[in-house]
Amino acid sequence: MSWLPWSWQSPQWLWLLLALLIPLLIHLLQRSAPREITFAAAHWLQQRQPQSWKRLQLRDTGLLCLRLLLLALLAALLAIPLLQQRENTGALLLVDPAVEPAELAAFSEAQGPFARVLWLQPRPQPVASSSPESRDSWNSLLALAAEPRYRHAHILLDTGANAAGYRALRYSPHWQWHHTGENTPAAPPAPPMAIMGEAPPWLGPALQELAETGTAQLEPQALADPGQLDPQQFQWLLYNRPGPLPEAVQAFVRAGGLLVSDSSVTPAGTLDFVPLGGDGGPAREAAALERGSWLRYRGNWQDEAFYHRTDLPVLLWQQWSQQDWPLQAQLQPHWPAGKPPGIPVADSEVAAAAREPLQQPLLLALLLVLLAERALTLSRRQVHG
Amino acid sequence: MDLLDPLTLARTRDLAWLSRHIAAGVMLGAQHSRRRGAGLEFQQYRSYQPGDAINHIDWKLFARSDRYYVREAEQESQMHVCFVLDASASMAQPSFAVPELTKLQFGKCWIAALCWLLQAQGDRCSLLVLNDADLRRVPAGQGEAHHHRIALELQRSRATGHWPDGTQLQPLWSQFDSNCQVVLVSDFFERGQEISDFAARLHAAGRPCLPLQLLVEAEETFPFKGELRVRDPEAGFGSSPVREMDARSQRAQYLEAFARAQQSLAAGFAGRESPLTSVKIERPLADAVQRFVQLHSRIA
Repeated sequence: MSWLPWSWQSPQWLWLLLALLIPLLIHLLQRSAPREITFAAAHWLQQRQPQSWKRLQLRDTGLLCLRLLLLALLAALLAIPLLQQRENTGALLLVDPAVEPAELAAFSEAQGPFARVLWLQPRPQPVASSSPESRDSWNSLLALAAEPRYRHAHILLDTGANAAGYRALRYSPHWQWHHTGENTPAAPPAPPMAIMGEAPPWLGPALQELAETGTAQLEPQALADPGQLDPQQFQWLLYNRPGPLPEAVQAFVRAGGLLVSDSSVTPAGTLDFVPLGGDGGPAREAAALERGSWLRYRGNWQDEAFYHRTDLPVLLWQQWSQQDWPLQAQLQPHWPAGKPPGIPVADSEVAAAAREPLQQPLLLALLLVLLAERALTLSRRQVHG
Repeated sequence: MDLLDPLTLARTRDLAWLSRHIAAGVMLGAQHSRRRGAGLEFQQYRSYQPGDAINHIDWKLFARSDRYYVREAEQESQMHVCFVLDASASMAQPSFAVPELTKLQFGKCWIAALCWLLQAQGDRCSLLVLNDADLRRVPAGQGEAHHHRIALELQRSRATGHWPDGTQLQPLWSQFDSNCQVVLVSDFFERGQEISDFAARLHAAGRPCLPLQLLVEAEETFPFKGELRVRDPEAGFGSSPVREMDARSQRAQYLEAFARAQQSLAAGFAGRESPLTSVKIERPLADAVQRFVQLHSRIA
């Protein structure tokens, strides 16, 4: 019955339609018993037998129809009809707010005209008349996946690689994906690194191996004076000067930098170090200093116990990058356009929401028909006595 | 008056009370021509003539003038209105709009109301309720007590049977004295010409017969549809009392036949200079009384 714009929420009530037989039977039975009246002026009526086929005709067909309609409306009201919304014709394009206007124009020209072009947002607005409010395409897609109006939209994303969100993505299987940029995620930039003090002997080989394996290209810059530390210029600092931590270095950390040292470096005040580990690497602890953090290895990293490991470069990279939250944000998983990670929203889940219940108009119709039926019945009663 | 809708007419048992209310509505603002005690008003003196009663002589005037003068009062109205109510079975026809109200009930209220008007005017009224099973009679009289008597007799009467035949009517002719006017209340649904003949005979005898015809609206409009079982309350022996018919196919023919019968009835009465007043019992009764009184100004 998909070709009908109707569907029923509680179709079991449609059995009530059998009650249509009741008024039909009553009218049929009444038909066999003509109405009896006393009529003093019967003298002027002709003595003529009614034709036999007239007996087959139902009387009060108008009233019967009203009563049938009344019962049908009642059954329909209980079964709660739902009216399928008409889908908008014409192609619909949802545009990632990150897409440049020029790119959008070029895309529209290349991919043919779109009936409507809307921003990809939880509540899409036309591109022409408004500026986007939200730039989070992941959550926007999540919000629109079950919206029947946007089930068949074209989605235009900025790049082929898009940042994933924390919630599981749900998407419409009918979406057609497009993107304006490259399809490969940009490699995360290697954080600019500084060294104060003497570089540990294991550092050079470890960085070389990281560069060779393509994991990261770290090029530390040696600094002598803590005053040269610029949080805008450097993100990581390898500090290898035993003793208390200078104030300039602390300021660097508080501005968002990552400080890496061993336990020979001591804080000026008290810091709450949280022990880290569990990955088989060197034992370490970390403390948060405002926007940045301090990763401190326990013991002396000049010891053989620290660096005598085959997987040291990878471990160091993992430990340092995990502690660097801004870098983590950049390193979050990306997904290619056209292959969204998540669960498609099936049509059956959307169908219920795509229909409007018709209770109020039906209730109104029921009342009107009831009034008409009562009025007609009472007027008949008055005429026939 | 709102009190006097058809349903009140049908349900009120106290005809005397009801008729007074209706009459009050009818006579609202009208001058009463005469009141109780009429006939005692002095009008003129005239010379004594042989045959005049001695107690009519004004003795004080005789003492002054030495002549016999008779003191004449205003002539008392000697009008006698005889109400003849047809109580045949067809008068039990109820209204289809107000099934509680029958032609007979309407006729009773109508007569009681007019009777009250007449007795207030000092005229005499009498009553005859006629059908072939029962003849009810109230002789001529006047005053409130008489009105009550008429109302009581009206209340007792029931509609049944047919219009009485000639032999049953024979002893009644003496009722209609020389200055008698007859008000005939009926639906004039006759088997032959019996009611028309009754009116014609009264007319021939010089007793004006003023007809009031009571109808229900459905008799004029025939609003029925579908199959009908029609019971004729006054069906003769030859025809079956219940007939089945299709209302729609009968309607046009019935309306034509009924209109023709009405025309000929009205023409008959018009020829005897006593025009027919035809009222539908669903309409206000006071209007019916007023129309009748205006049409027959000699009663009012």
